[in-house]
Amino acid sequence: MNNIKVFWWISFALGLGLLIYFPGGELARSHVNEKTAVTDHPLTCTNCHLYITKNEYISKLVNEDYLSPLNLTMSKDGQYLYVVAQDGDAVLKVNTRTRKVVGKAAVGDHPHSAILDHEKQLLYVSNQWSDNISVLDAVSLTQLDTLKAGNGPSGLALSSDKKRLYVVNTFNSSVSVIDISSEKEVKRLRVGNDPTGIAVSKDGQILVGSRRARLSEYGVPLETDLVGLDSEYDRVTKRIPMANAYLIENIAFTPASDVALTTLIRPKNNIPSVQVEGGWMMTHGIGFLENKPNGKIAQLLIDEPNSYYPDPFDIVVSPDGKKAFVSSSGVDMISAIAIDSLRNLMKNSSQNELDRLANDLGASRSFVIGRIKTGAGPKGMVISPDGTQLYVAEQLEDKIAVIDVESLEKIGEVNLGGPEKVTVLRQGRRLFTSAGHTFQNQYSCYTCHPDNHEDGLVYNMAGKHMGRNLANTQSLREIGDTAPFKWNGKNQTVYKQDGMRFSTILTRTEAFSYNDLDAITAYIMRGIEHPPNLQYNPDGNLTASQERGKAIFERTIDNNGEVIPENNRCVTCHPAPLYTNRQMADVSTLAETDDPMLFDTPHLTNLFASPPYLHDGRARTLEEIWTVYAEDDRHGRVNDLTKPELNDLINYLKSLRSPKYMNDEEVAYNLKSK
Amino acid sequence: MTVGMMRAYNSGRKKHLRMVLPLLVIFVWLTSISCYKKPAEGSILVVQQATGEDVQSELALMDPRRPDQDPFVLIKEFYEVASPEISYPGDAVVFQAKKEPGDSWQIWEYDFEGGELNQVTDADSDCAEPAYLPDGRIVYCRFVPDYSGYHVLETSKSDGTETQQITFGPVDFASPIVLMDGRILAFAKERHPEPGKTQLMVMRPDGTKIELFYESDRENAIVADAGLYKTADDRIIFSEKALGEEVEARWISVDYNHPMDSRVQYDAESINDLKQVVYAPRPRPKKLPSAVNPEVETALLVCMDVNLSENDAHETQDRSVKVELLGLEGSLGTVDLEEDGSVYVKMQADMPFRMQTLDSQGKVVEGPSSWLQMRPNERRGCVGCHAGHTRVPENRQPLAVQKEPVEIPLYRETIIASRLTQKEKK
Repeated sequence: MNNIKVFWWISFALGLGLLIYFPGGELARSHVNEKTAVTDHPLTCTNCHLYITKNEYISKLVNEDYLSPLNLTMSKDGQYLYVVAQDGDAVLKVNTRTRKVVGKAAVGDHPHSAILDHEKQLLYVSNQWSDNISVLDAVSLTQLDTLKAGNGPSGLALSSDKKRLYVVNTFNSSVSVIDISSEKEVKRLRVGNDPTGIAVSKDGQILVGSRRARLSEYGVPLETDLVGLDSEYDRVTKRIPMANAYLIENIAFTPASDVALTTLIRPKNNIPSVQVEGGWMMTHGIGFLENKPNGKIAQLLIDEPNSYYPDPFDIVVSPDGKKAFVSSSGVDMISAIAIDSLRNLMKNSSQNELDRLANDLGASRSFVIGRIKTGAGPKGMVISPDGTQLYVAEQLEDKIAVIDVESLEKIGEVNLGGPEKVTVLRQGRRLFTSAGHTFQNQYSCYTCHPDNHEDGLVYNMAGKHMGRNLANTQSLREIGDTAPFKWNGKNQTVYKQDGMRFSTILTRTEAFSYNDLDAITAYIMRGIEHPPNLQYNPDGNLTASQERGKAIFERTIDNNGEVIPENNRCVTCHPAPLYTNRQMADVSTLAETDDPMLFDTPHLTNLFASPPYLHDGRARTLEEIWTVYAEDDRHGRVNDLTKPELNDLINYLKSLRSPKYMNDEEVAYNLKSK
Repeated sequence: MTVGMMRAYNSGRKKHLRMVLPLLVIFVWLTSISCYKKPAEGSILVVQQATGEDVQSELALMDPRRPDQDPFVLIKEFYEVASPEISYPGDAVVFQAKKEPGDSWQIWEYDFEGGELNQVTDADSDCAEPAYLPDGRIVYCRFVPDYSGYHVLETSKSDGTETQQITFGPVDFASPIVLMDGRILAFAKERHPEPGKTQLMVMRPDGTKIELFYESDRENAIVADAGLYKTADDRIIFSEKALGEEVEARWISVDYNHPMDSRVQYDAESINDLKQVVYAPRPRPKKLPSAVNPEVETALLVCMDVNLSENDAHETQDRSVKVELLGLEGSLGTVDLEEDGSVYVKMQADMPFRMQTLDSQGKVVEGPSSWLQMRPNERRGCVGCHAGHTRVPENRQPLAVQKEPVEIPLYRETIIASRLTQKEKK
């Protein structure tokens, strides 16, 4: 190559470089400014384009397959732990002496809980996204059987004679009673909304918690059900409304079964969200129920005046009945509770005083005896049979923490063998579940979006004035391609949604650093999946009613033979595959207490799981959207429909599910419709 | 590439290296020169009186590991220096100083790396007790001559721009420090209508959400002169004196989490000074976003239930039916309580006010309260006037917010008059 050629090649390369750097840089700057709504977000293309890509190969390259332990159980002799790895779709067996994983078995999709029949050495694992229970040999981890459950099986309990398995069905709010010998579901009992936790007392009473409150009009005090079941007759014996509480994740009885303890959250959704100080947004605590006729019931906060312990998940009681432990995944902390102090408090307080204590941040001083730091995302716990060690599933570390029950110190850990690398998506998930980015750690993203979904509450977001702008919490599942965001569609990207304004209005503390913002955005856009819609559309084959509903959804002519204007057809604004055209619309639902706005057309995937409906949650059911709030036919042409036709439409709407579960036929149909 | 080309290339590279290496050496040397004043971690920052004819105050660094070495004098051009505080990254120190005996105290900052001294404030009155905010701005106390003299808190960028008064009202603030949650904690003592007891008040750096953090019990009183300190884990340390007894002031500490219920008294009488400024980068507290919008003149306040008492819910429900808001010049107006005891008002911002509750005959039931303030665009809630410091609100929609907020009729006239007076004074 002669010098002239070299000169030209260098000049060309330099020219190209300058061309890319200067005009390209300006373009990139303007693009990033538009997406992030700030002018100083770093121009690192990979931060966004690598981690929010939908390309399977790149996604596989930059992400890892974590185990994410959620719950665990223990052998009677304390020698083995059985750990449910939710993201690993597996159960792991851990030798507690060597603190090593000694076995691993694949189970169903998204397993939730495990329980052991110690005598028969059988391990039952609930597979929440498969609607079944894996039955394994506890010694060899060989899968022996699969039992059919209801929708979204989670918490498990065995009757004292071990003849019946009680399975909490989260997605259809029921408990399946399974006769183990015949492997048949002999009864299904309706419990509270969105339940997971279940506990059995010494005398065979069963308590089931629920996480979502009863559906009611905004402003009516919240009530979330604790439901008592009788294991002798398998029937519902009582419904205890826990006032102003929700997210009752788990329950534990004391060994004497004289007391039941629950985790709970006391939200402040009815109060204008004007500040965080003074527990104005969320408080977190426990329920205390005396297990006797007319026994006292109390809710007590584990928070303190300037520090909060959000997202209490599990509660366990030591074998001597002296201590209870609560895992708070929002602050990676375990709170140790002196149960005798609780008993004294109950004994010396009238019910009125107890009711007052439910809103007292100072009460925890009298019964919380220690706080123990854990790794990221402490969830399920179990105490060794000898009462000396507490094991905690650190969901976002792929580890089990070992805590000394006496000294209240972390004394070790079990590495479950998940990837060591913390990917951007994993970091995003840690940020999502951490309350560290909220003033005084009062709540995390996960608090209002449990299971990355929504909490079923309507909040007073206090727009211009305090009584204005009610907002129904929206699900965060698979929203990556559904921009804009917020009901008023003001945020075109998740970067903007979770940026500076987010910290001013919602978290009221320091905004995310840009690295953290990129990570949490990546997680929200690509890391959150919908569960399959096994309840209403398990395989893509619609029922006759759903087919009729689909025809109504897509119709162009109404029952009177008149052409429905295009902008008033269901399918126009809610086209597959996400069932949103991502446009702003006026469907005549603006309330007097709303600031003037149009509404971002919501996506409808897994719509059945998101009551209440409409931007301010005024419709408790899908039916109410049209039977109560669509008199003027502006939310689709519906007033010509007969009741059976409306039922068909709703049955179809309930069948809508994530595009990732669609079969080839559905995909082809949707493409054709497009 | 031919051998000739390779040689030429290598020879060119050597030539470049010969040029670059000295430059590199000079760069490293210059860098080390520019950093030479950065103190060693663990050094102690001391204020010392210079010897000589003129009384002079110096800010100097002392390395406790090298007792044989004289303190390294950083600044010596002041008549008096006090209250030094190291910045969070450890690159600067802020302090109050007087150039000449008759001068007022002003705030200054010294940059360790550049060796530069910058005057932060240039006010007509004393500016004292500076503390760094997490975003690098500075909070300090500025003297106001009214009501026998008191100090307001102000914030400013370290170059002296964007000065903002953040407390309003006849309340004397002193010794501001910054908690790890990003809020400012300071002593506060009411000056009007009667001198009050010193309390600890906490607020965001923009002056919003000001509230009581700690107050002494009936037997004790805070001694503000001894200063306000905190440990790395936010344990707050100050001094208290027993009332009516000839007992020396004692050091007290309270826990950040339970300030009202965690008082620890240290009886070691030999402890008389805690102030020791150790040079070391410090963990930076959270940077809190500001809710203040200077273009808005008002602020909104909701009280969930005025009648809620500390011990029993609705104990005094049948007593108060109105709330009266009091300004410096007298009543600003009264507001009827809703059935649930709630009240929702739109206040003029940056004006001190107090509240008192009235019965149906117009007689005072409770109050008046301490002086309160709201910043422009601030939105604030309170559980109840006497609900207790650990009480959180019940989750219910207050009836008052279902209506428009009540504006106090006399209020606007008062503020306009007050602002005019302030302008005339300037």
